[in-house]
Amino acid sequence: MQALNCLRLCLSIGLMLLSYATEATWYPALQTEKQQLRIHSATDEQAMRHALLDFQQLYPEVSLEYLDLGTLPLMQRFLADAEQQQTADLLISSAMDLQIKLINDGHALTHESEIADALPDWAQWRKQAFSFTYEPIVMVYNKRLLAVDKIPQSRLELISLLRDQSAYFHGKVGTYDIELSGLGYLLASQDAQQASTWGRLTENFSHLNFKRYANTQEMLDAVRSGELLLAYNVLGSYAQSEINKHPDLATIFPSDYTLVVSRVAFISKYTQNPKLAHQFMDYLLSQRGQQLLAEQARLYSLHPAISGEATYQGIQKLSRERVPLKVIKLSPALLTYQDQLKKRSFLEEWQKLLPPAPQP
Amino acid sequence: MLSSKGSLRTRLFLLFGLVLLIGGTVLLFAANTLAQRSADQLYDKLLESAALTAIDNLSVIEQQLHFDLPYASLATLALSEDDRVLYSLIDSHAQVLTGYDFVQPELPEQMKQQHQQGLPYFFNHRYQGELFRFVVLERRLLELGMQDTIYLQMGQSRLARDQLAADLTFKATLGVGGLIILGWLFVWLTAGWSLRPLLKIEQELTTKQPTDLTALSTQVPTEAAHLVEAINKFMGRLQRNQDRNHAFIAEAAHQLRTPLASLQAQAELATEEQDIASIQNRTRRILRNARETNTRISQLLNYATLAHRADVLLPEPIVLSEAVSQILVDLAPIALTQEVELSFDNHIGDTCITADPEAIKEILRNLVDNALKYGQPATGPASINVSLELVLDNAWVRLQVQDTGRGLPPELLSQVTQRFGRGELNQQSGSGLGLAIVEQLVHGMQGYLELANASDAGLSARVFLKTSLCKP
Repeated sequence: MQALNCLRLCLSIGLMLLSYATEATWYPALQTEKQQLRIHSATDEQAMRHALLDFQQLYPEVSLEYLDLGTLPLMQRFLADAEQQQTADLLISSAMDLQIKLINDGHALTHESEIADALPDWAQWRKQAFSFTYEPIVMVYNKRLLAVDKIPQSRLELISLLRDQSAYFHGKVGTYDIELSGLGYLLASQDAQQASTWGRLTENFSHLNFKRYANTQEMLDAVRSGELLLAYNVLGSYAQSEINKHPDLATIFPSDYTLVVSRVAFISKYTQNPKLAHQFMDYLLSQRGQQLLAEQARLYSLHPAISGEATYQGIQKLSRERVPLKVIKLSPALLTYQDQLKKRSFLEEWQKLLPPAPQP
Repeated sequence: MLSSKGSLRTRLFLLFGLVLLIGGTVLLFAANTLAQRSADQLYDKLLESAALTAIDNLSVIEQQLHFDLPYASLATLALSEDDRVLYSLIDSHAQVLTGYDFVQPELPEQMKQQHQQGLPYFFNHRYQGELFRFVVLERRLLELGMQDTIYLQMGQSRLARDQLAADLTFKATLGVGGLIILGWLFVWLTAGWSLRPLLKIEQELTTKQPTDLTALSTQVPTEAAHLVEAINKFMGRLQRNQDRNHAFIAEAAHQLRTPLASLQAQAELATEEQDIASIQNRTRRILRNARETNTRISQLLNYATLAHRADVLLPEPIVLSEAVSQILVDLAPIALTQEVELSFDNHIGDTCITADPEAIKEILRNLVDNALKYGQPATGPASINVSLELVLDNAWVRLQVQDTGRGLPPELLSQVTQRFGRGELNQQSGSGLGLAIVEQLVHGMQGYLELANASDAGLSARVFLKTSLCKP
């Protein structure tokens, strides 16, 4: 067991180092550069690209540095940078609990603006953390490989499907590796806290020798290639863009409850450029920015005035029709599963699900 | 235009406003303290319940300490929306088992006492530049293989508390402010309303004819009644003064017309006389008449002065016997030259009266003068006795001047005090006014004059004056 833990640790550190090596994307100023803004974000650069370029239309003298990291490496990097007091200006992540933890630990700058005030209560905390998307967590399957009658509409249906067809699904179900992905850990902890189905579901996963992934994109790729029949807990926004490219894929909004996470942005206390950081935050929350995120990035914008499928309005409509939403709210209650002892035992439970490591 | 010392209404308004403001400030201060205490009490309960929920999940399984932080615990703290959360679980060696850094309580002794009574211990502490409220709970583990005291510390920043306290204080401020404004308005209106009678008096005074000195008829509240009374008294005095002046002028005209007519007749007769002796005779008569007229005029003027004085007496407490003996000392030489014996009997000791000393002097001098002039007996030695006595249960002093003359016929006793009402028996010139002046002055001091014929002989003039306290 000890050796296993060590192996995992080494693996995660290795992955982290790998992420560290990721190159930041540089958006040079449209005019003579006068200011720079550094954004570290657990969001695909492709998804944010339109918004960043549009922001530069408004502020042409600003150069942007955008670094896309996984949720966990993002936090590790920030904490390391914070010791030098030289962090990115803004931090964006869908690992809401980690963002709350950083803010609760006093790393954030207060952002006050009319635009931020318009947000619903659950979408902001302390005027420091701000949700700017509203993204459903879905299951993704491959239409070519899964017959219509086998499509589960809820977790209970999924459990019985996996139990009944265990041979068919063996090795072909995947979800987040909650040890490597902050978002995965958040979703798992929400599932665990939310419903008793979590235990039975993971038990079935374990029997099927399920696969674990560090991010959504890998999961989507695996479903598309047929390596996986079904992926559990996938970010709806990414899934939707993938479906647009590959119509073989389809999503399921679990009808028992569909989790909704949001990407959370905060301004670092150590920012060198608070004014610009505030301007970018306001842009993210503004109707213009939100519109762009919804249309170009399909990031399920939160702004209630914007209509379309990948928007707050769209999800609300879906929810009214058939799916109860479980929106994860920004609140210090999210710190519960970040408690060291709790996290340790939760991960220990998780590790019990995994196949035994090959004996050396 | 009279110089005004500000408006009464403004004075009341400012004074009451000051009282309200001071009272309001005190009240607000109290409200703020109370609000902070209430907010703390309320959120302390939340904090305690969150901590209790958490410590409830502390257990020992297979000699191992287990702590499963329940979601409800932090969710309870999240009820105070924007507040940061800190918690830590430590053992008796201050080793942090989970959570954040342990913030050392400021008063560990007090904490121990609280815990001994099974109570939570609360304290405030600054953490990362922000003030936090902490609670510390104690749990003694007495399980097999695990005997330790575990402390759970839970804290939250004070945003919600301060917000609630500010809200409560703000509401109290609104209430108190409203009351102040209402009170102020009330005073403003009431002051105007209660000063209305004064305005009515003013109106009546301004519309009165200048010759109309009758009392004011406006009905006023008790407080203003004294003012109206004073005004009425003042007008009464004016009225009396005016009446007296009118009477005096009429009297003077009447008194002077006769001697002047006589003078004129004598002078006319004198012009027709040829004989130098007759002319001289007429001239002597004219001279005599002129002298008499002159005396009459000076008496009239004298009377006018004194009569005026009766209305402007300056009363003060005086020892009457001292004043009387002082005056008698001055009069003694005159009595001596007329061979009249002047005696003084004081039966009142040092009793005081409230009187104008000049008026007393004038009264006594006139009475003694009168006695000297008219009180001479036909035969035998003349004497005048002045005496002081207490009468009517010592409430009054009686000043009596008694002569040994013939007295007055009863029918004249009442007339004699009237102006120029000289007794028939008078032969000497000059004193028709004396008793009238005395009566005027005595009335001015709220006393009265009594004239009577003594049983054996002579006239007895008695002045009654009220006694009063002596001032040290």
